[in-house]
Amino acid sequence: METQQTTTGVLSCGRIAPGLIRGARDTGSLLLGVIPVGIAFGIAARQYGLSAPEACLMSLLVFAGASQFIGIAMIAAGAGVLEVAITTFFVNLRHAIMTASLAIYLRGCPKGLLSLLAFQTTDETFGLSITRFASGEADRWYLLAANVIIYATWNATTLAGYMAGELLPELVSNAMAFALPAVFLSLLVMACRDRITVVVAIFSSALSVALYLGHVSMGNVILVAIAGATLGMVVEQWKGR
Amino acid sequence: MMLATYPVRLAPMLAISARNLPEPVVRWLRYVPPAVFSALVFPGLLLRDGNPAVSPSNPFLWAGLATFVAAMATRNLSKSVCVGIVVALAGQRVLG
Repeated sequence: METQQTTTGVLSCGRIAPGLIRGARDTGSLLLGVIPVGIAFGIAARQYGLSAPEACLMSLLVFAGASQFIGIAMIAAGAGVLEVAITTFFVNLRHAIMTASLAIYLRGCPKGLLSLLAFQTTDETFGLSITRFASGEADRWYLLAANVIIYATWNATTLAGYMAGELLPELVSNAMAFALPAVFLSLLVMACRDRITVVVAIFSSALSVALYLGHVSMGNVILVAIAGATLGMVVEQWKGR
Repeated sequence: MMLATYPVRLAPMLAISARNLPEPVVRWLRYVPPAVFSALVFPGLLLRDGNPAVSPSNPFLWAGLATFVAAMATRNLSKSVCVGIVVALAGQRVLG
């Protein structure tokens, strides 16, 4: 940390490097969550009869975990292009609210860079960087580093899972399935910075479980996000000033 | 599929980063993260195949508890995720 701060002053790209380095370092903690899902997707793509180039192309272009799983299942079940596209749209609508939240920290960013940042936005990099943006520790380069690493990892693990996924012991791959919930649970704890965010967290958790129990399986995240954030603002309004 | 995923990510980012939002909207957006994290974590923890699995035989419940405690104590993402995975691994061994 100390050495980074002293060396970056010397570099001409001194304002870019610290963000890239911090972002790359923090992203290590997300890899445990992304690697098993990428491998699982590679395995599933093969089981559902996709060719290796098809599986890789899907990860390169679509780059959306849940949607890709749903997509290959729907394709295998003989769904039409339009049907798959509409489902994907609704499953991924949650990213709209995530990039909207990120955008308030990306003012003045060139359009080309924004287009790249938006393309590679995932639940994981959103979660990591929004937590750091809120505490002033992230910038656009931080987000770029996190995004590029997760993008590369997702594509590499898709291929690895396709080629050699079955070699993984079941116990390990089952336990690895806990990595993603662990990432979001930790981020949730860190996001609870005051009483109102705790209220938002408890309410949102209860609502999302209720939605799942009620077999509402589409648009849950965006529904919970809107309800939770609105509750937070209402409580804030009601509590003070 | 890409035509369904990319515009959804791109449009809000371009639209919002280009202008100054009214203060209430910015405050609203700041409450989005805890809500989104809640929505992403709890179904995977408390449900198995859409059915509630709130019982001591669900290893992910114990792993979730350990992750929660570790995150509170360390406020460090990598440490708490590692603790969670280790407990999930041990839990699966013990609980089957």
